[in-house]
Amino acid sequence: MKESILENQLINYLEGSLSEAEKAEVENALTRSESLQKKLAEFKELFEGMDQLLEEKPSQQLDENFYRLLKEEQQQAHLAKIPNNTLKHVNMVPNIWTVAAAVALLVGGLFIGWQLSNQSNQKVLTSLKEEIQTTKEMMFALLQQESASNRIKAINISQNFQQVDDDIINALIHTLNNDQSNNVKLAAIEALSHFSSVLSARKALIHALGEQNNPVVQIELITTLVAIEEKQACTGQ
Amino acid sequence: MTDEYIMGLVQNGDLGKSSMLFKRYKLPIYNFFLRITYDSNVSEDLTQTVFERMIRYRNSYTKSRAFRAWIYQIARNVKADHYRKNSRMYFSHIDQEKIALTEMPITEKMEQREQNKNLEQALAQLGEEQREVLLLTRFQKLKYAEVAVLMGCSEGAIKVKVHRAIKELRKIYFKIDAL
Repeated sequence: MKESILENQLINYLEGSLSEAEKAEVENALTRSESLQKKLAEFKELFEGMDQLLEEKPSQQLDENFYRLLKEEQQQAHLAKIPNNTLKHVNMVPNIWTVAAAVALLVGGLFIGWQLSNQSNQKVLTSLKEEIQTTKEMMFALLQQESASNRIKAINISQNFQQVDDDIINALIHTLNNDQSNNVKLAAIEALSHFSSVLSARKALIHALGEQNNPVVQIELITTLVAIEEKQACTGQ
Repeated sequence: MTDEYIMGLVQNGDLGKSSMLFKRYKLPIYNFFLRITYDSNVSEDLTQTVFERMIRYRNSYTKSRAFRAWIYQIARNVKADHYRKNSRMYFSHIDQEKIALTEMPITEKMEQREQNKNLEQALAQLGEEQREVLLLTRFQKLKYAEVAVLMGCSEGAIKVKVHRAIKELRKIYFKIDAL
């Protein structure tokens, strides 16, 4: 047998991947060759050495960093309440981010507030409503911005409002019909598709199909409308 | 609880459970990077990135796949990204001084310590690809089939690489010992 093939067989032998017949062949060859025995011993030493190599320990920093990361991720998952966290991709002015993040919490809180209806909760309700109004105003302000990417950010904020809100839908419709940027229009279409249960949103999308000239926007409208149609057909709405 | 089961819980929203996987895989992954980069700070950063991605891309894990194989795929991607950023594909030569291994515990026998040091040095002299297949199969205990998927080649090809690596390691190691 060639040298290298023999060496492979020795390694296979140590790995335990040989058949009984092959094992016997190797053992036979071993009895006849001292140099082969020496090689086997060397491979064995390597294997054992590799198994015994110490696991080095990282610093405390690694643990600290991980647990900090975990906490952040848990907070984000809780605040965002949506499967793929669009908030994370938005590179926003800090105060708007925190307000938008609070919106999702507040909207959840608002819903709970509506379930209970005693006096102390009315106070909470009022302040929650005020905060939501502030967020909406900020969103509308962003929508007026010159930079298309800021307008897209505004639309992303809207996706955190779980409750159907006419003001927001109207703002989105207005953006779809009037915005200068096609990318912003596409974002508005996507946002509106989330409010597809609302008649005015659906109507706006259909209307836009007749109005919009850009093929990319038109295709997005068609795709969205088809998806809504299918959803309605499935749920029988 | 198996790794796969825990990961399933994490996917379902119990992010806290990911700390169990962190505890299980922190050392193996750190040591994997350590023997690739020989830099403890970089290895910690890369390890952190692996667990970041494990949590953030939790939805990309499919239960039919062994968790171990998935997390090492993440590790290899993290390694590749690191190299891309640092414009180095492979270490062609490892500076012996750079082997930033910490002090071994005093309870270790002198002979074992000496052997370990020689083996670490021999490993460091292997080409990076050879070292990596050895690390994945012998240290991280991944099966040849799993490593084949990770590295995008056949199981047979991985076996050949591993055998070549062991043979090469033997040549280097026993020359050192003989000094």
